[in-house]
Amino acid sequence: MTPLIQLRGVSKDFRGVLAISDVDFEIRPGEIHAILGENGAGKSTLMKVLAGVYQPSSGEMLLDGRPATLNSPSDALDRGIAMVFQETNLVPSMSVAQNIYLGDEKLFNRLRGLNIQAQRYLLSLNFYVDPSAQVSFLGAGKKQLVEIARAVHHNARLIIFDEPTATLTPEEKFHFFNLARRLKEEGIAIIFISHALEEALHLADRITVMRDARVVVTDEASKFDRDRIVQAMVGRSLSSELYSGQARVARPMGRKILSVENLSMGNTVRNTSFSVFAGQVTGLFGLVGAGRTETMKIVAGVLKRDYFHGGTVRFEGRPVRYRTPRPAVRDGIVYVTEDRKIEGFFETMTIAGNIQLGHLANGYNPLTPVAPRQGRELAIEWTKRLGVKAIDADARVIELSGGNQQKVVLAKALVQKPKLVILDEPTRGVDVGTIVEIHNFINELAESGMAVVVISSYLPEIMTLSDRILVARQGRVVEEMDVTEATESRIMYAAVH
Amino acid sequence: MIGAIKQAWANFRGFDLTGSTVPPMDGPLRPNAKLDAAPVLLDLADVDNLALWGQEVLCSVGCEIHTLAQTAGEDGQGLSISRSRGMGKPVTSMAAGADLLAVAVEGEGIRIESRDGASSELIVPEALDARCVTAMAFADRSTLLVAVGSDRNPARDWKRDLMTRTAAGSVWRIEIGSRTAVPIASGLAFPSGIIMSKDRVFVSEAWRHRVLSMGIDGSRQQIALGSLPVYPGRIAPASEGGFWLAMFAPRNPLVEFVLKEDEYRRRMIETIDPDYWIAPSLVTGRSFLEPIQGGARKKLNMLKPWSPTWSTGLVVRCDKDMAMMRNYQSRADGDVHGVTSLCEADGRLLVAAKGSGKIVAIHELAGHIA
Repeated sequence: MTPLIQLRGVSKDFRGVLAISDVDFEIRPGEIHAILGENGAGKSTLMKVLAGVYQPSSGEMLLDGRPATLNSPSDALDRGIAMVFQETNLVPSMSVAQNIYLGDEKLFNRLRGLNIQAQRYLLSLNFYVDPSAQVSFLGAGKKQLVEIARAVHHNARLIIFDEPTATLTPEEKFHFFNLARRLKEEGIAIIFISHALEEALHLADRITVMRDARVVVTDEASKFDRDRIVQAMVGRSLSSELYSGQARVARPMGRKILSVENLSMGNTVRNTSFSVFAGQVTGLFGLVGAGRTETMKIVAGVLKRDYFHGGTVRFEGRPVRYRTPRPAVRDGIVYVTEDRKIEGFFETMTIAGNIQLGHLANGYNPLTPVAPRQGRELAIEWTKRLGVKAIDADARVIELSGGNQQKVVLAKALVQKPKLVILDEPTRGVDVGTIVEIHNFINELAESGMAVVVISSYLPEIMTLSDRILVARQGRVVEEMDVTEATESRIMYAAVH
Repeated sequence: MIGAIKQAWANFRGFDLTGSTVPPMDGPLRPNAKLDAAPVLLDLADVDNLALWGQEVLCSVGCEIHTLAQTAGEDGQGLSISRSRGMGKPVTSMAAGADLLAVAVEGEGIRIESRDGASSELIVPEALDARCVTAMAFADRSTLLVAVGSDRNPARDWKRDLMTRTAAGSVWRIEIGSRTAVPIASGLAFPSGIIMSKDRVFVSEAWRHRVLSMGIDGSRQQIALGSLPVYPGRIAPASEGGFWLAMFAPRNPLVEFVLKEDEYRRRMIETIDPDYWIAPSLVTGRSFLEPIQGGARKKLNMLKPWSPTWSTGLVVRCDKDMAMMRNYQSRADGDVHGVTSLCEADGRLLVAAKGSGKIVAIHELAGHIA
C-alpha cells in the first residue's frame, strides 16, 4: 500500500537549533498513528511540517508517492491534510455554527439554517455543543470539540490532532475515540499527539516515539507497553518515579493558611467549606463541573463570590474578599491557571519578560521600580531553578515546548513569593519527563513550608502528590481524606455519589 | 464612608456583610467517633473538673470533690468513687500542683490545701470575682494562674455570658504566700482554660474561639490558635509534650446569626428558659422543647452524625506551640458531649464529659495522624 505521506531525512531548525533532525516517517491511509515524546522532542514541529505550517530545512516529503511541497496550511488542506491545533484557532466572537462553516459561506447565509445544519452535523459526531453559542463563552473542552468538528467537516484524508483529549471530559473522550475509529473505517488517516500513554495504547494502530528531535522507534501498538514507551521517551524507566503508588507518609500539617466557609457562587460553587494548611500539598479532585477551579479562582480573586450569603474566606485568619487578583497576590496567594496559553503568559514576550511581570505584580512601586538588570537576573535565576530548556532567557515563550511554557508560568507565579500556591492542572499537556520535574518542585514547595493546592483530574497524580485529598462534587467539597487512607476507588466514589 | 453605607444598608435589609459562617471541621479536626468508642470508666452526672494530685485522681461534681479509684472489676479499667467531701458551694475549678491543690469555690474564693492535710486556707483576693473562676494552673509552687470567665455572670451561667456578648473576663496571677492577686490580662471574652508552658501562658478565650499566648506578666499577647469552629475550654498538659485541649461546645451558623441580632437575642433572653435558647449547650436531645432543626437532623428516624447540633464532644491534641495535631470526637449522634476537663493518669487520658455525665478514657496517647 502506498503511504499517504512519507518523510525522508526531514530536518527543521530554528535559529540554528534543530527542532527535528533527519526524520523518516510515514503515515498509511486509514491508520491511527500516535506520536509520543517528551515536551521539546519535536512532535509538534513534525506535525506542523506535515500540515504545511513549517517548511522543512532539508529532506524530502512524498504525498501519495510523489514529491510534494506544502507551502501553507491552506495548501495542505486543499490536499486533504487538516490539523487540529492544541491552541484552538476558532474565532471567539462568532458562533459555533459560523466557525464550523467558516470559509464555506454562500452568498446569502441564513443563520437559522446554518444552526440547524451545524446541529445535525454535531449530533452525528455525538458532540453536544450548542451551535448558536458564541465560542468565547465555551469551555476549553467544548472548543476542542468544535475544532475537531471543523477538521472533520473539511473532508480531510489525514487529520492531525495535537493533544486532542487533554481538555475533554471522560465522556467526550469516549465519543472522540469512537469518532476516530469511525473516521478510520472511512479510510481517513489520523495522527494524534498525546501525553496520555494509555490512550495511545488503547486507540492507535502504530506508535512513533520521538526523543531529542529524532524518531526513536516506530512500531505496532500491540508491541508496546507503558514501560517500553516511557523508556523510549526518556531513555530511562520512569515508572517507579512517577505514580509509583507506593504507600507514603503525609507531611505534618502546619498552621491553617486558608479557611473557606460556606462559599457560594451561583450554581457553580454551592456552600463549600474546607481548609488548607501550610507545609502540605492539598489535592483537590473532582469531575468536570465539580466547581474546583471556580472555588479556587474565588479564593485568588479571579472570580467573585455571591455578594449576599456568599460565605467567608479567611486567609491567615483574616477575612478577605478580593475583587481582583492583585490584592490576593500582594497578600501571598497565587493561582496558576489550567489554561496557560490564554491566561498563563504573554506568548510573544520573552521568558525574562514574563517572569519580570510576575515580579512586578507583587507590589509594584513606581517610586522604586525594579531595575531591568535586577529583573533579568531574577528571571535567569528562576529559569535555572526550574530547568527551563531554552536558548536563553530572551527566547519568546511561544517558541518553547508545552512543558517549558508551564515552567515559565510556574516561575512567573513563584517569583511573587507566595504563601499559598494554587496549581490548576499543573501537568496538563506536559510530557512525562517534565511531570517528574514539576512534581519534585511542588514537593519542594510544600517542604519549604508553603501551602500548596493542586487541582487535578488525574487520580494517580492526586494520589502521588497530595498529603491530604479533598474531593469536590457538584460545587462543594464533600470528602476529605489522608493520602495514607485514600484509594482510587474511594476517591472516585466520593466524586460520583 | 462607603463601608459605613454598605453596613447601614446591610443592617437595614438584614444582610450580614461579614457572614455568620463557621470554619469547617477538617484537617486536624476531621470528624471521627473516637470518643464514642472510648471505654466509659464512670457514669457521673455533672462531672466537671479532673485533676491528678500525686497518685490520686480527683473530680468535682457540684459542691463535692470525689477521689476516684480503680475498680477491681474484670478488666480493672473502671473507676469508682472512693472518697467524697463537700465544699459547701459549687466548685467551679480545680488545679493540682506538686504539693498543693487549689479549689475555686463559687462566691467564696480559692481554697489552697496541702497534700498532708496540714494546711487549708481560703484566699479571697479583693478585686477577683470568685463567682466565675473557670480554670486554674500552677505556674510554680507558689504562683497560681487564674482565669476568671466573667465578672458579670457566674460560671454556671456561661450561656448568658455568651448570649449577652460579654467580654468581661480576666487572667490573674496569685502569689499564694503573700495572697496578692495581680491582673495580667483583662477584657477577655470568657477565658475558660489556662496553662503555663516554659515562659508562656496559654489562655483559651472561648467566645472569640481562640487560644491566646502571653507572657506571665500579660505581655506579648498573640493568637496561638484561632478561628476555631468550637468553643475552647480547659487545657491539660500531655506527658509526651504539648497539650490536650477540651472543646466544650460547637459553634453553629444559626447561633452566629443570632449573636448578630441584638433585638432578637434580647427578647429571647428575657422570655425563654436558658435551656431552650438558640445557643450552644453541653448536651442536647433531653427535651422536645429544644430549638432543634428536626427535619435537618434525622433521616429515617436516625440522627445524622453531621446534622446541626448545639452540643458535641471534642478533645484536641496540640503540640507545644498549640498547633492542633489530631482530635477525638463525639458527633451529633454520639453520647460523650460537653467535654469540660481532661487529665492524664495511669498512661491514659481521662475525659470528663459534663454534658453526658461520664468519664471516658483515651489510651492512644502517642501518634500524629488525625
